Amino acid sequence: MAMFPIASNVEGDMAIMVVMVDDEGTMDEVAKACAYHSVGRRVAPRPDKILRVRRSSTGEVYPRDMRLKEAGLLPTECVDLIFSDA
Amino acid sequence: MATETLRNNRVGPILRAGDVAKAAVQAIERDNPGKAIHIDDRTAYIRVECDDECLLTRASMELALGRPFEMREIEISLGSFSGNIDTSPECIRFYFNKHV
Amino acid sequence: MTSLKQDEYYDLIRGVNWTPKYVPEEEIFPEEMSGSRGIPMAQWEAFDEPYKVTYGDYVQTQREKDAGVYSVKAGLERANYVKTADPGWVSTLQAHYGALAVAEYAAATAEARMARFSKAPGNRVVATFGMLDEMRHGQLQLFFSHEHTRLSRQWDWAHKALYTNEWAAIAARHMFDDMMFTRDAISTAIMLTFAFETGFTNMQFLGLSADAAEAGDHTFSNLISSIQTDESRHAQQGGAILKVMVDNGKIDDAQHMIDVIFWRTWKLFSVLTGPIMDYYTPLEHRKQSFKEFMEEWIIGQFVRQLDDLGLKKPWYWDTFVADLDQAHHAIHVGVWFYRPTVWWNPAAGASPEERAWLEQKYPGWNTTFGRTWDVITDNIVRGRLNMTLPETLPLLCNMSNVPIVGTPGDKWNTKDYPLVYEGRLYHFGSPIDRWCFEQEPERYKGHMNFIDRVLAGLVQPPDMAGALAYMGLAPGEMGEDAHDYAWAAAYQRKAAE
Repeated sequence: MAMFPIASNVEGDMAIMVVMVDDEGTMDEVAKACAYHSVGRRVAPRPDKILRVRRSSTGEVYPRDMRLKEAGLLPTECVDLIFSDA
Repeated sequence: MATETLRNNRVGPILRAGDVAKAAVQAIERDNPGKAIHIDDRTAYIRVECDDECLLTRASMELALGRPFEMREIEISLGSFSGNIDTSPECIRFYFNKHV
Repeated sequence: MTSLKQDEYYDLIRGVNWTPKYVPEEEIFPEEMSGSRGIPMAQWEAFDEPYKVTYGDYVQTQREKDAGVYSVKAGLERANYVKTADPGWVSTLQAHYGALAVAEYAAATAEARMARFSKAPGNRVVATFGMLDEMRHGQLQLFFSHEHTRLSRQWDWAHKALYTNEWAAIAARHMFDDMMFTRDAISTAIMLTFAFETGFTNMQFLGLSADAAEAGDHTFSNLISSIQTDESRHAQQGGAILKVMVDNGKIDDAQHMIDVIFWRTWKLFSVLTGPIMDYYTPLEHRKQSFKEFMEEWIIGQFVRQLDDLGLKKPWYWDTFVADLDQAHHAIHVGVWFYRPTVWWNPAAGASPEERAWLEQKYPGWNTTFGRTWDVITDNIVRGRLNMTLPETLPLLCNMSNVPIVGTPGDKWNTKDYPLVYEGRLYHFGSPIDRWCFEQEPERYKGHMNFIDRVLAGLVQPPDMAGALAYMGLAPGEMGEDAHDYAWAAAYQRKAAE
């Protein structure tokens, strides 16, 4: 494993957080790591929704079980975290 | 809103509050006969403006203050101004080149 | 010998120039420093500043100005205003002094460059006065803040801030260095004296003086408005240089410089002046909102003057106007949330009464920025203070060096504007910040913002504690909520009911 920096842009937040995540982790784990720094701090929790990871530059929504290292993101590249139904 | 704010022709001094500012209001009324003088008093400073051109003479300042006045003294109170400026020992002129 | 009247000799003396015989002109005025852009010396001699002052008058007037500000200070010293002032106002003063006092001193160097290297003889004269003005501003503001150092270590930052690697200090330094230290004389005249001083300094030195007077801080009100009288005079060199450029077919060059520096200055003032006016200044003393001050000084006055001089609004005008409802609110949340990383105590300004005022001044505030403050307030009410503090750093813009922000809540639009340049990924807070970079990548590409430094291993350990140490912030200096969360009391009472 390696810690990998991403820029986390959580839906509803006014800033983007730099978050270190395990590049072996799945997108759900990425979402959890990102949520930690925004949801409940500056963004209200939405228990009925899940957070999906979307590449900011292309709008591509990653599969939930995809590993971060498979996404081909550049270090510090920005991802949007979008509240979704599934 | 921003576009409306931009559409104005107001020129004149913005003076720090005090005796010189009060005198300048009187002087500008005298130096710009027939013009509407707009005054915005923001406590610390006061905007004294009219449209397109605003004159302020040393003679009127002396009259308003009741003492000798050198034009350079206005600088102590002149926090800012709107429009362009022209200075001489007898008169300061604030103006726009273009009317909008 | 007959003595001449001032207006008779003035033009003669301040237009004195010479024709060098022993040294070529380009050695006396290297292009890199002079920036004459191929405009010949004779054309620069046409420089005619409209606000004329002789050296004799200058000295006398400045002496009278200083007598005025020092006598107000002395007269009110016993009243000890700062000791009894609202903590939000004290934060205003600390932020102001730290970001600006030393920068004013630095501006003397920029004026000195024009005084030495401008090809316009009149510009050299006015810039000499400008150089003396900026020394005055540096000295006054360091002196006026110094007496408060006994009150808390945060006051030390009036002098110290710009010598540290605190993030806001890096942002201020990057902008000031770009505008004042790394430009030729003509660019400095356009960017510093015209765009910055004719425009934005009015916000911080006259707009804020109105709030200061309302707050009863007459010493500070009088000090900063007196400083602006100097700025108003020496800012005129910009307009006069602009005229020479316009007359010699260089209007596009001037417009381009204004477009770059207008945006850069806006971003800096949205951090410095915006939160002060709309959140720190006690509600009852707010003369106008930040946006209203911007409309008064920047739109109604400065941009109107651009038009009069034959220039255009910056090309990104609509984005700028929209940003008046966004940038400083977002940055304010960031500064408050990251309060340990600044040298002042941010006032939240989010009590029910203050929120009502914000909603009135910025319709829609409650469902956007208000949503963020709802979460923060709820955490305070429930005693979860740890959730009102950061555990990681925000992404910073590689141009403004401040957090990349947007509107939160129902109109969420936060977005990173990236650029890969020579293999390095840069981040920008807006397309305009990125455009500024693209105009001159060589100028900007080497700079590392705070996040770049963390990722390069310069900040150790790479966490909040390491970041605070790198910024030079010790306990007693790190910001806390200015009112110790008293503003949340009404929500606590409501929750208890």
